[in-house]
Amino acid sequence: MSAPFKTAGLLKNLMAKYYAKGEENRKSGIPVAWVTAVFPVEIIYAMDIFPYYPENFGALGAARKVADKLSEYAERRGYFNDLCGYARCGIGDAYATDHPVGNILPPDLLVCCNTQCGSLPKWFEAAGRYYNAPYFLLDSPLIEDQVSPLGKNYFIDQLWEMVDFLERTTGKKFEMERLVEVLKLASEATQLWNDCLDTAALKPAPFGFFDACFHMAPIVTWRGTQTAVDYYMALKEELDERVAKGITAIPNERFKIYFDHIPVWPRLRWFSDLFAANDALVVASQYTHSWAHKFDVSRPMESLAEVYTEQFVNRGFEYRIKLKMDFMKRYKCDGFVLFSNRSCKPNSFGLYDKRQVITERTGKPGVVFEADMSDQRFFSEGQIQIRLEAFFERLRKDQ
Amino acid sequence: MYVAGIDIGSIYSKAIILKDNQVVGSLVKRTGGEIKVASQKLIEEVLMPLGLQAADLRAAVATGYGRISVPFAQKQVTEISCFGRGIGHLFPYVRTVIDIGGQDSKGIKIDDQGSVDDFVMNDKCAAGTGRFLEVMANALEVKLEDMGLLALLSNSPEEIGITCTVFAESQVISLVAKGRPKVDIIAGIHQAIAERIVSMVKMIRIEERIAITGGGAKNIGLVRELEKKLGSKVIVPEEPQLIGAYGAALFAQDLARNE
Ligand code: SF4
Repeated sequence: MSAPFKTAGLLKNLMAKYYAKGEENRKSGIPVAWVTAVFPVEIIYAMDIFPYYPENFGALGAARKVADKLSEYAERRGYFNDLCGYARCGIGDAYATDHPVGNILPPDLLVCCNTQCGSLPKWFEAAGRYYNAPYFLLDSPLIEDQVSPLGKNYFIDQLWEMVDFLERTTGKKFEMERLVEVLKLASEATQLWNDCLDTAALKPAPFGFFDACFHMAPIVTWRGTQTAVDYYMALKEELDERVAKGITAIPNERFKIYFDHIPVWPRLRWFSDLFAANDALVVASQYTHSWAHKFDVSRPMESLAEVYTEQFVNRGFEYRIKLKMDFMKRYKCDGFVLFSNRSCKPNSFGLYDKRQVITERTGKPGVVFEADMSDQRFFSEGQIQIRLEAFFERLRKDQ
Repeated sequence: MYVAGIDIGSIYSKAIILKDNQVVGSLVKRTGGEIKVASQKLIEEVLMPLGLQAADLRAAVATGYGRISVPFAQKQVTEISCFGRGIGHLFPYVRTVIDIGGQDSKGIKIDDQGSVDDFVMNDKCAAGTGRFLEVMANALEVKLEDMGLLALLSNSPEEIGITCTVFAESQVISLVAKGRPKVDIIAGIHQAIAERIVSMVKMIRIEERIAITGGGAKNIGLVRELEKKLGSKVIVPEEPQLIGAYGAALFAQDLARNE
């Protein structure tokens, strides 16, 4: 990973404040809504409801290397260790007697979008029963190629239904003008985030995927607020400064790598060191680009429907291959690494075939490794290291 | 000029000594104890008949799972590259190497220099590897080295599912309890392993000619089964287990020459 960013300190501060605000807000009458990462949170912000991301809680537990501990509490209740690790962290913490990363914030209501996966709706359903809080599911149709008008209208209708649900359960009022303001802020932040990610295309680059994994928290949680805009302005400024001063992400950048998808959080450092030791910088991933979209504020609801149904995890095999290849081209990648993540089925299906097809179409080498994004019990260092090292040896052959 | 290639595998450790391109010493030993100490002993033992010591080596390259713990090696190279290099040197017309090691099996595509174009390895489960055969030999109370020949004696192999080593073992034990002939069970095991290996290696689009390396290549029953499933005769080098160490020694020779 790069030398510490000034903005990193800022982020830690902001995050701590944000989490502390949840309970405070509730006391002052602002309800806490559990939301999912790829979800039209812009509506939640527009209605002055406090969004809380249980997935972030899971990622935090994973990064602090306690996902297995938390998971054990869930497993004792019969939740199988094959389920998504974020869900196991969140459910585990609800039943836990010790809370190594603090308590997960109980919801007043839960809203979930299944664009991402089928795990979240089940987790939220179970949490809704456990916390005795109302639950709303935003159902996104699967898209093979393009979203159909029918599919889009189906989603828009549900957005209005959700607005109705939110008004009824929270007593807050929805106003379109406010949503437009939020969408403008969201677009501004996503544009800035995109600009930051794009600096990884420079050679040598000041910023890579492992850095992005750290700096992505605000775009996931605060898009639609001024805080996110300010944060990414500061980050962009710092990156420009680094470019001017010649500060690079790794000492000797020789290879640019595309990486799918979520990182192995408890081993982030191990991976970034191994890549750096082989002069390879991971420069792009569909994961960190999940929040690099744009809104058309002249058609708020349509635009929300398009952005959130058209997410890559909701798309077919060919689309996903093309997306990876586009990233590889845009960031001039020399090879690619695909992480078959036990936790995340929708992102792991067909990876061996994808690897083969991409290599055939681009001529670039790729490798698949297996682990879990959060749970170290499924991490076998020797197995992963040999695959990655053989991949690096293969890369060196091309140069 | 003497150089060494050391391959520390999960079950066996192998060493090759080259002098001006010629193999002048080799050794295979069970991997045991602390790798640092074991690799030191291994090199001493292989060098002793030559009247040499580790300090006399111009270069040494280590490969295998224990490659990072070989104190006298100047460089580590993965077994994937080493098997490719070793086979490419001996059989320049080979394009696909199937290596059946103790804890994993791999498919390696190479060019005419033995340089790796693509590779694939089995996932975590030991099914389809040398260790799996060892577990089965134990369960059947048959010597590991006899397994391959016994497999050839069967006319009606049993169907055995081997997605998981533990389940396969209990299936084998229950077949024995039912009084099924051991040779049929053994033949079934070999078929299942070959099936698993071939379907994995197909992921890198097999190209002829094909060579088989690793301890598994010494098992004639397995080699015949693989040939059937591949629809092609395969090449088995004289010392299939030593190819990784041989490739490592060739890399060591490069190092010494570039010094
Ligand atoms: S990691 Fe995968 S399975 Fe888990 S919540 Fe995210 S998208 Fe769903």
